[in-house]
Amino acid sequence: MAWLHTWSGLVVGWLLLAIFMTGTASYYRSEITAWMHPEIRPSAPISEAASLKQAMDWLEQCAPDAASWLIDLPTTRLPVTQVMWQGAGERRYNSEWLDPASAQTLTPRKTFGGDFFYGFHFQLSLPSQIGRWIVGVASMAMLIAIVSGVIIHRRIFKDFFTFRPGKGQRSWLDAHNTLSVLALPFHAVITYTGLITLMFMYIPWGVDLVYGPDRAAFFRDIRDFSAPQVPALGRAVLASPETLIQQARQHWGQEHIARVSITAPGAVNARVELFRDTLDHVSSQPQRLVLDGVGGEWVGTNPSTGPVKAFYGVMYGLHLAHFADPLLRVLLFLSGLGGCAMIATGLQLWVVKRRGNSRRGVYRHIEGLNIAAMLGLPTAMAAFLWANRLLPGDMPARDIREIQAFFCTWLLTLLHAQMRLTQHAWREQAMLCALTCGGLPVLDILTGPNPINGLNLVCGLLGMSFAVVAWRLYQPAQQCIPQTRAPGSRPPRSERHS
Amino acid sequence: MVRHGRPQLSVRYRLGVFSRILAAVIGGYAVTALFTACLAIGLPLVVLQPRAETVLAATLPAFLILCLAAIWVFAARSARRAWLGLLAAMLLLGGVYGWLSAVSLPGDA
Repeated sequence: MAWLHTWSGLVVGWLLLAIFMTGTASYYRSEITAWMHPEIRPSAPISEAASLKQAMDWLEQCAPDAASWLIDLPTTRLPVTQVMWQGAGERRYNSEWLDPASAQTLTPRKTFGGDFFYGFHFQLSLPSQIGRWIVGVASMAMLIAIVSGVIIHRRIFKDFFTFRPGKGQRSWLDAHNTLSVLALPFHAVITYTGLITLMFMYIPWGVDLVYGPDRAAFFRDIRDFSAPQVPALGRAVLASPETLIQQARQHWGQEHIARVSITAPGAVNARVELFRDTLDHVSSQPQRLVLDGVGGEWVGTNPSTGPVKAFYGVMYGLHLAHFADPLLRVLLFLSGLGGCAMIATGLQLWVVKRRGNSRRGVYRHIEGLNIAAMLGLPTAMAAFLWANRLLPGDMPARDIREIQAFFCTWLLTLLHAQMRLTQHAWREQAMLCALTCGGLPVLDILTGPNPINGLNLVCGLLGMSFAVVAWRLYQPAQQCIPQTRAPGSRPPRSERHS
Repeated sequence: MVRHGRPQLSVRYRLGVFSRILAAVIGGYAVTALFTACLAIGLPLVVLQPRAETVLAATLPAFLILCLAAIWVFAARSARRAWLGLLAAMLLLGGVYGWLSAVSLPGDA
């Protein structure tokens, strides 16, 4: 059992670290997107009534004949109004951003923003089937590692309070145990719910047996899709934004609309759907109001939800964490960092335990991979943000260049970690990571509109943490340096679990 | 490769590990698929619920089943026993599936 934990953890450890790190960053997907669009100006407090009116006026003027409109209202996390429209028979939506204060069209630089980390988190920038299967296998191994980790851990309560720093392998083991136990509920839930988000791809048998070839019918049943496109019949005046807002207030109270979908705008059979924000419920199932598009009368709400579907919605919602208010979001982010640290200490424990004092051979290269995963990846993520500000705004395919900056940086850190002596690679990459992360707030102050934002704060703190790590690694011959252990201090094999 | 203070691991041992990994991945997945299939056609015989509920109730436990199967494979005393246990589970679930699909006539679900 112990070696199941060790091996299932190591084989996919590097992959999991990348999945965890980009997933943790994705808790701030909107904030990262906002940071990467410095064209967005911080605006006065946003009112849903004013934003909705601006968006509907804009669409009335610029896309009056569209088959459907979709409006995402601004939030404090991403203060832009997103208007989308779809021509008759078209599949793709056109999209524009409006400044909620002036209702002017914004022309932001081309970038994937926080969506890049989010997509990488479950698809690794690979073709979707391949990427998602790899992530699924890694997540399954993680779930097995967590469950078997609990089983092999007989002294779970005692080890929670045990930390013996500066003792080489034992310190790595203690750190790994403490981090794992501290946030165990988080690790278990985030891994299981992550698998849940893609489960019909991994385990298609249930859908296939019950629905046969008509998979689309199943997805219509579990995800309350918007009203299907219908041909517009006869012209009529669309219900005013005030009417829609009034309906929302009557059912939900003030300021709860997140999205408005309007099909066949300007037709007799126009239909409006209001989607409620997700701040006060965990489930990812949307809560909505369906209104008549001309008179604005209430037509319906969600179809009723069975208990299993409700459970599924909560599991899915727990993973996405759209419900989290700022404080809870910070706690989830910290738990995510704890998960990264758990995987990192586990990987390092694997190497330290096997290589003894030798810094040659295969273990040196495995440790190099550890360095590139633990320090190279955050450096590459920071490089992605650096590229966002340093590349010229009108550069062709600049959104792709940002991603190339990410992968090139990561590749370089990998090569560096393989070529340099291990202890030099640790120090230099910790220093580099501190500089790239810690430099981001400075870069934002020089090039951005609003230097007071959470992302700068987090990057600054991360930069300082990496600086402390680098400083300690530069201290000569201290026990805290991961690769030093006095000869002969190897604990007997039977002392602890492997 | 020299291991410090450890005996060399035999080829037999390594083959055993490889066999267990295969058992966990292929056998574990087969058991999970059969378990899901049994629930998917068995649940409508027991509870009256919308089709989507049946699918969700059948699929949600799948990862826990796969997890338990993998833990069994590596906890078993030998690779042989691990495979035997999985084959027993597959035979049992396969039998249940056959019986269920005979009981639930077309159009019944």
